[in-house]
Amino acid sequence: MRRRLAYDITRTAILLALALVLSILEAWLVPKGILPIPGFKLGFANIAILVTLYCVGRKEALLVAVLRSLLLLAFGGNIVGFVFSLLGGIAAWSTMCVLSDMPHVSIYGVSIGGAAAHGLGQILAALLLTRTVYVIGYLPYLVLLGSAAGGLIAYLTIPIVKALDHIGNEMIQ
Amino acid sequence: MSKRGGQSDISDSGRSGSAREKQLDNSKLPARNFSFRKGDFWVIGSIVLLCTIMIAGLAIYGQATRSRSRYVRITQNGRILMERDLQEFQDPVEFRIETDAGHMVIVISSEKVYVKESDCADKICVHAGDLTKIGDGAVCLPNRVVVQIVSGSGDAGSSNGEVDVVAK
Repeated sequence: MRRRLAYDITRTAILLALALVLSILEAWLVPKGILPIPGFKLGFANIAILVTLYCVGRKEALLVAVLRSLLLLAFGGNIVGFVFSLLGGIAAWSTMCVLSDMPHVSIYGVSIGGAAAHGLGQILAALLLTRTVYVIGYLPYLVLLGSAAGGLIAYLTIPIVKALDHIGNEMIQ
Repeated sequence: MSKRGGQSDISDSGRSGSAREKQLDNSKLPARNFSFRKGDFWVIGSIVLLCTIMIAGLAIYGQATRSRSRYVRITQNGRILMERDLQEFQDPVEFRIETDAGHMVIVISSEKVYVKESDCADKICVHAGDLTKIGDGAVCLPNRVVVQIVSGSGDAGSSNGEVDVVAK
């Protein structure tokens, strides 16, 4: 039990670092303006959060999502981006928790539903920050594109979860 | 799965995995199935359906408001800075707004409105391009400024802010 705790803490910390690196890498690799909707992102960091949800646990996944937002703020982000990623992250996490419990829903459905909820959370943040209902006009496009990105993210996450399961099984033997 | 079992003992590593732990880990790692399942179609289907309904609703709304006169509305921190008929701008006019993050320059003409310059980091408002139709808008979150085209009666994206300043 004790070793499990240390093992989980270590994996969560590594996955948090991975989430941060992926966020920064995405901002770096994907130039602003080539994506069709202002503010739309592919959400690479969700790879790390999805892996945490599948391989470690729910609480840890929420921890990774929230700490990622906080650390990005500390590493030179702005408060607006923080509110956006925090609300988006919490919305995505709760949706993914519900979906991962449902029968007949694979990692694809979980990731796609999470991405859609992420878009919804971001529009909520925009509503709060701008106090203008106009931003709702973005919602369907953001959610549709985000869901497509969510499918891609699930595809990229599968080999990582498989590898981590494999490592876990090796350790038992 | 209690994780509050006191301090972790990292020296307890290596091959000392007991039978209890083996059992715990075995139960933790069931064979996973990653293939696409029918529930995924339900998730995707409901998302696509809801989005289509929203897009259709917004399109119908845009159609209904197209014939009305277009006003430009500039909002900062939820307050309306200015709201004027585009017909008043036969010659393009540049508006300069001072914000918390610096300044913004918004160009208004009778056909279109666009954000020319902004001191924000991501320039999403500038990338929004030309605003021509009722319902179009450019949002700059670092500056807390929203530029939008509204119908004459001002109901495309009503704001709960009161008119504090009307630029003349």
